[in-house]
Amino acid sequence: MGFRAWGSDLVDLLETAARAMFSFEYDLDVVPQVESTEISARGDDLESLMYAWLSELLWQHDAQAFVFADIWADALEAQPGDLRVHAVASGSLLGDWFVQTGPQVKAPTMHGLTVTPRDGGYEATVYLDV
Amino acid sequence: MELIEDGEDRWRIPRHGGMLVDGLVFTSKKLIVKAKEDRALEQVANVAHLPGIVGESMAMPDIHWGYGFPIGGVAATDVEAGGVVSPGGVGFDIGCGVRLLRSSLGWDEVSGPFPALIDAVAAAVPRGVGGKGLRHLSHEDVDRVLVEGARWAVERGIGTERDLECCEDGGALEGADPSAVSDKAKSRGAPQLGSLGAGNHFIEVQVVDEVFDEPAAQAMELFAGQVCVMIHTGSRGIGHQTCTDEVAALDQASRRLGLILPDRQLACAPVKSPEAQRYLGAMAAAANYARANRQVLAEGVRGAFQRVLSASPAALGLDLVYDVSHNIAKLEDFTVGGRLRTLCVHRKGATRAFGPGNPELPLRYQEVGQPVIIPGSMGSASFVLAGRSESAEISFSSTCHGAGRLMSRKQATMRMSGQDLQRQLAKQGILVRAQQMRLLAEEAPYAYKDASEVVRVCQRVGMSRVVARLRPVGVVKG
Repeated sequence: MGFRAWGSDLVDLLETAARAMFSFEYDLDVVPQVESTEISARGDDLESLMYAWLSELLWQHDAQAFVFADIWADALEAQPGDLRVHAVASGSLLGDWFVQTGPQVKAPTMHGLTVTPRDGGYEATVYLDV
Repeated sequence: MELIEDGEDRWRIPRHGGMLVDGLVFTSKKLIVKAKEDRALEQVANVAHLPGIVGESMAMPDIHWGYGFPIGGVAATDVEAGGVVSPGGVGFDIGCGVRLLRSSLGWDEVSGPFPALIDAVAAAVPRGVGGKGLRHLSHEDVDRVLVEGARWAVERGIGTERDLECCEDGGALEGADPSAVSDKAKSRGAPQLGSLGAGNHFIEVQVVDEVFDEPAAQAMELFAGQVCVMIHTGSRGIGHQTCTDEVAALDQASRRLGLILPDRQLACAPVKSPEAQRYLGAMAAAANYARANRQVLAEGVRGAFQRVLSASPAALGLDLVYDVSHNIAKLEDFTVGGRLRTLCVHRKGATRAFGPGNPELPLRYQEVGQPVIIPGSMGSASFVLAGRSESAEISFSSTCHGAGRLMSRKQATMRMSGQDLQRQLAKQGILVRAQQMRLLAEEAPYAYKDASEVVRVCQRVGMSRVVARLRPVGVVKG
């Protein structure tokens, strides 16, 4: 399965893509915002940055049992061949309150992955392994 | 893209563009229709671009759309000729596979307490999101599992030496390199050993419905009316993270090497390169975790049977028929163009199917060939096949791996709710225990192809032969 996301800029796109990915599995709006965590990712082009970003979020979800409510990318450094993003996120640790509404996402994929400038912003197409 | 019918159950995609070899799909006129709809054939053509590929880029009858490779894809590359390995040719669930336990019990001995039995199996098996496994591993034990595979479990009293004899590679693939597995991957794997996961993974209690090949069934100790248990799962988070890490690493390597690939998920590197050697070491390690995972789960199932039926292990006879992966890449020798070559054989949603006499098979299967376990879907039959020697020339000793999806998860859930499906299956005599009822419909029988058609094609083509059909009576899902 996959999704297409749009952002007014690259930061907006990364945040939207993160929320889109987790929305397959659960409703972000009902997650209690009682914990926070930080996320960093880097890539050497737009696609590898998106792949690393989503991979890092999934690792925190699976290994740290963190359920994301919202994600804010607060710093983006873009040098040729070196793109870095830092973000903070709110949410809760996985507990009995958690209601799964869709399949668990195992990983983002590079299959058909595109991140392209569009209408003054950015558009991404992402396929996920579930 | 041109698709030519090339004999019964064979469809050829002639080499074009950057393809280095033809594509070859083994499937029937009935099953090819779906493959044409979901762009899986395009993926067969894409795989044919891999450097060093020999023979054809193949697909088994259960072909459907995947990521990079199609599910059901088989591709072999010549190691000495710069052939590559691609993590996309193994998939995210490294070492995912199936094991079948036979029992000494007939269905008539189990049918009475069966509701309690399936409840006990469900209670004994951690599953679903965040599910911690039966064993929480220390950092040191994670590394041992990655090297020793199912043997790690057996040496701690979880199972028997006989189990290892009936596992592919004796329960542990050689060449595993724990140092090639990231700390992130290990942190995902440490708490999850002995857990089922979600999605299409399951534990089924089944009954042997019909035996088609009596000598092979005897060698596998299968008989009509017999209760069996099938376990389908893989390497959980440690495999997903390892594939994630290695696709990124080999994507960089591919671009550095100037490889032109039609899909970045086909990222790859020559088998002899440091990047590929690292991947193969990490992949073998994750595959060993998958084998240990199925070993630990099997012991959980055995315990549930013992408690509910108040029977000793000897009386139950829950012995392993075979454990085999269907997501893996292995270095194997095949004759290509009249010359014996070492090939890197990728099987993504395809199963190794060695014929009789292959030295890698346990003694008990030397005369009949390797058991191949083919899960159906809830409500439809599963099959036990046996490998044929002819498969070496036909498909690099490969055959199908399952029924293969027919409709998307969303399409499946729109047709029926999980509760309705559970009730419908109960009326058919199949008890389902699901962790997440609303996800159950995603795995409904109508969402999958007819496994009987898939295995019939494999038999007609000569890759494998059907030994027995098993019908489900109880299903435990994540």
